[in-house]
Amino acid sequence: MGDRVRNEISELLPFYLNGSLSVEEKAKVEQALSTDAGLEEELRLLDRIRSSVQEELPGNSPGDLGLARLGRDLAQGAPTQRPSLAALAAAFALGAILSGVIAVQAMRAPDDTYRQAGAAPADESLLVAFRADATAGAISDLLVAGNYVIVDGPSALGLYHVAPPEGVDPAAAVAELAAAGAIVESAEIAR
Amino acid sequence: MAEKNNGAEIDSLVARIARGDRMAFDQLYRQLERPLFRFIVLRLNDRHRSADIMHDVFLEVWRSAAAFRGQSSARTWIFAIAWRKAMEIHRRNDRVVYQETLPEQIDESTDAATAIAQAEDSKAVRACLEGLSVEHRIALELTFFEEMSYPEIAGVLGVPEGTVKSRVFHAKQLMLRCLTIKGATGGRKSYG
Repeated sequence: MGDRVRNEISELLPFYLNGSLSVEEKAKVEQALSTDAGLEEELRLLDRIRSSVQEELPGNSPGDLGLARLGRDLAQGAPTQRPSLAALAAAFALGAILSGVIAVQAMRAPDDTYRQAGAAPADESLLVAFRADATAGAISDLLVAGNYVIVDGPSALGLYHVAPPEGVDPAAAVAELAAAGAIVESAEIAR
Repeated sequence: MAEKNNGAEIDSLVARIARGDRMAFDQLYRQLERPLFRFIVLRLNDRHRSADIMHDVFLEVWRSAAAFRGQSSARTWIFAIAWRKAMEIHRRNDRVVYQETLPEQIDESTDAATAIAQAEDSKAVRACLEGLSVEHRIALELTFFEEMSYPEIAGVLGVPEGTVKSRVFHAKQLMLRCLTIKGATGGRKSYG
């Protein structure tokens, strides 16, 4: 058997093993296996690799929770964008970091400037949803640049209460956040 | 492992989904959720993002099933959607772009007998699998876990059939070399 033919057979061996070859290809491989002990060894090695791949556990998939989430989206007309698990996880982590920052600042600030984040008056806060593909870094940059603070969230729908800087008109803050369309999916004044 | 001959069943479920059958959609989810998730995680190595991608894949299946014309099997079509979406995220994150970097004379450092003996140690095989590039690992995944044919894999990954065959071949050669090295450096079990 020439090298070129042998290589061709060798390339087909994995698919011989998984049973997906055509009848002609299968016959060709079996003919070669009957005359080439080296190919038999390759097949044994591939079989071990195959077993190892198949033994690997798939890990925790979303399972029924994922199906329930799909059901909700389909019932609502399957929105094309919604807060993602990744964005929520990133934003939640960001919120936790910002909470820490707030706590540290609170310890340093005079009493008359301290305001507990969670107690922000509703009429001063905004409801914000971040885009599914927004990174934690981009969200952080946006909020820090505008002196915004996450005061609550995410809600079950993935919405955050965000406090605008003191003295800034909430409508202007909404417009500013909405302008960052690559990061913010929606922004509105909390009622 | 995905059931070997469930291709016809998946074709049938997608045909029912095309007519708006929610029960068929749920059945399809239960059939493909785990292998799809596993496949996407292999590409992205991020479970949260992978869950989101899988969610989007199933939404796209629901929306597009009526437009699916059966140019490939439904399973290939669905995995191809997953691959495309995962690659969009992968590229957006500016990660390393895949290039074939395999040395041409890979066989010089291999010893089939040593490698096969070492392959009896499943820990060694797993360690070598983990050392493969994502592309080689995915090629083995689709071949040995999904048990797809090389034309099907080509359809999923959007590459020529010859590329699929050579990628799986290279993956096997890298495994051979890795196991040879492990065998030669004392990880070898008694054999025979």
